[in-house]
Amino acid sequence: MCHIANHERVVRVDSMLTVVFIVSLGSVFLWSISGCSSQPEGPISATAEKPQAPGLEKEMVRYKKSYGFAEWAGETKVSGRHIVALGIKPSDFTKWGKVKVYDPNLRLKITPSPDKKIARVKVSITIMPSAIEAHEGILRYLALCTLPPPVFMKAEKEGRWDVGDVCFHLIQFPDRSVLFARNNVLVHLRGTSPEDTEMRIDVAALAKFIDKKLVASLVPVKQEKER
Amino acid sequence: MRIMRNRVWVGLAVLFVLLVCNTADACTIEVDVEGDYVAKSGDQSDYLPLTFEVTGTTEGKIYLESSNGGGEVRFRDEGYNIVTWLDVADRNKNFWVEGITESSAAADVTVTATLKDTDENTLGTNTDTVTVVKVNKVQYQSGANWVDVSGTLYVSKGSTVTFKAVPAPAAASWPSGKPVWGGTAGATGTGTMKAVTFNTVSSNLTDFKTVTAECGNTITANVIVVQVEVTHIKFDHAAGHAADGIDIRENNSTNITVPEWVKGGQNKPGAYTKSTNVTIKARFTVSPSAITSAKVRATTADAILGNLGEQTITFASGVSTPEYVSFTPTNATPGAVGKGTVTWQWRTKHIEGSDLGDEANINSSGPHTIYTVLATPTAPMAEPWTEVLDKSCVWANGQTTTTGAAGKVTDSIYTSGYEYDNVGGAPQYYDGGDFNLTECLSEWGDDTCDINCWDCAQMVAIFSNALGCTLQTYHITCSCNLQCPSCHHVFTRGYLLNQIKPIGRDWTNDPFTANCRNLFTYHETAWPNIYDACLQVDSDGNPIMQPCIGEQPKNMAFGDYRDKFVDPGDKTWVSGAARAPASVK
Repeated sequence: MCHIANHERVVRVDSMLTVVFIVSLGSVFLWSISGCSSQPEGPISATAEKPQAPGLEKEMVRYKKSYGFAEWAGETKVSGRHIVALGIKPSDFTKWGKVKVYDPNLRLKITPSPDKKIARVKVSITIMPSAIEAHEGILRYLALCTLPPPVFMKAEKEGRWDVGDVCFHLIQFPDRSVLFARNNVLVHLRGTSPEDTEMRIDVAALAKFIDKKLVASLVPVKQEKER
Repeated sequence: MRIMRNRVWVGLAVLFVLLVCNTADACTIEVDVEGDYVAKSGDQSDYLPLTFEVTGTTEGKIYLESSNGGGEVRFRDEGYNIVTWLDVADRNKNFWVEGITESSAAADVTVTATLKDTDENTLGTNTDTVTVVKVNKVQYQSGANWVDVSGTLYVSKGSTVTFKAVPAPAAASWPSGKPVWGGTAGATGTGTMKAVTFNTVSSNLTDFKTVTAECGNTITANVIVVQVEVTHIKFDHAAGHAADGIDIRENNSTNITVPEWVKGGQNKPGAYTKSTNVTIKARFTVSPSAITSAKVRATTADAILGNLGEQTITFASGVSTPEYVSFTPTNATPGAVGKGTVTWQWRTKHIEGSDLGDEANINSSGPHTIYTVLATPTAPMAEPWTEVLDKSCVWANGQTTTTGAAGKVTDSIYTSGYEYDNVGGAPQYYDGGDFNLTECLSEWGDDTCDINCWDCAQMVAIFSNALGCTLQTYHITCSCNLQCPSCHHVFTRGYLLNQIKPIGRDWTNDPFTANCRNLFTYHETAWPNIYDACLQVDSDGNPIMQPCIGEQPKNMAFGDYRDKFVDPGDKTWVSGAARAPASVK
């Protein structure tokens, strides 16, 4: 799998940038430049596309490659089932702190302490039409990160972040941003700024709690269709 | 001796004659009607004291009569018996003058007291004059004029009307303690004029609240006390907003229902485009419900919209008809972005056509919060949230152009307190393709909720477009891609940065790692031109290195922006594409 390290160093050979050497984790790859063409300066045509941040589907293709999407996309641990109604509600989170609800279906913030230095954790759970779309949802979020991939890494099985069918967490601060999908549901747990706050919520335990609730909410796809 | 005796008799006779003559010459009488003005047919308390001063005798009688208006007064003793004479010996007792018939002219009644001896010889006479006064009419004050009360008066609840009693005869003064004011409206006291405040609404058109003036006789003013109230106000009362308010909502979950203001109920804001002549609509009720018309207007000391011109309201069954009446404010909407309030004091007069006194205050409405925007708001704030306008109208206060307003919005977001996500440049409010504005507003400026350029671009577009801008977002990428020599996968390379000052952070050319040169895979701003609330660029002519002079990109041409933002070696391949802002939730 091709991989661009988080901390890459770009060495410019000449101003035309015909060759770029990227030194990454001690390995040197020689990259060829493709598609180098000067673009006209703005303003560009203001013909708007349907909002699909970050937008360009061709970019999504690249992000899928970067995160090895093909290797895990669509894979579910429990097949033939999906979730049509969340078996989880905002009040389920009160044991972690005060809950502020942005959307009961479901987006909320857990504040374990009024002290702003204690990290708050935001929870968003979205039912997607299918597992593959939940997985694409992970990618779409990752593609909005300005830092080139991989900013997130895929959690290892049997590890602390082995939750859902597929899970990604920040490489640098794993408990500050965790995305996972369970069948057709996308879950995102985000802690407040790691440099400003102390994390006291066990985000991995919180993720597992949510995942357990989601698993309990799974219903057979057929059964749903028959309804 | 005989001569002596004769002399004695002569002397006695002379003395007698002298005594008698002297007595006749010294007998005088003075009569005084105290106060000179007496109420017509008043009760005993209204009688004027009648006093006598007699000299020269303690016998005889005093005869009383009135002339030049005979019959207009009569006299009573201290037992209030009618008398026409009295013994001189009783002259110091209490006697009274009672008014009977009003005088035709001032001081036209002559009271004559004639002193006579026991042989009915007149010893002296004296006169005084008196005026018998009654209430001729009652008037009410209408501006500088006094208007005779005739028929039923209609006054607004809470209004104060000054009444005046006019005496007859016209030139007369009022007797002491007259006229006496009374009636069911609560008037009390005495004096020529009386200001009466009407606080009790009449239940129907026969439930008169009376004002009476008494001076022997009583004149009554019958007053119907009317309560007109403004009960509802609509700002957004028509399709579109060419001459009315913009369709707005509080936030994602709460719409603003029209009418925006309800007496005793909701008080929601209105929003208008700048420099527009608009109308508002108001609904009124009246009690008693049989009242059919009144004139209403509203005044204010506030500059926004200003006074509302007078309208004649027609009522049916106690409600204005048409139910909502249009009013045109004196002022057009403000000429620049802003947020302010207007409180209207509603006033009424001419109830049932009655030109009674000054117009009266009825209830007030407001304070109405009024937002002024530049033009029709656009997506994703085509129906602006007041929670957004509360910010953007303040940030862009006084701006008259979309570029100016968007610039102020950009500045304000950049200084809001947020910090750039220097871990991965991840968005904070991305929500399945939408921007979660509800969440954003609930923690606005929280420096622990780190954001990225996508967030900032959406914010600029949202807050600017609520003001009538038409900003999109601009997705800035590098067309210089990298292809893996082994698997041939093409990666987006990104681009190196010049010195930037990310929101809430210090100058750097790598927001993620100190002393490193990480790339930006993309950057997002508002557009057109560039409005970037996520970072400042270095405008000192040498954007590659510090020190830097910060410049907030506002209406900045893309080429200029790119020169300052992107490393010179990469800028050739950096371009952007416009797209619609994300929807909000």
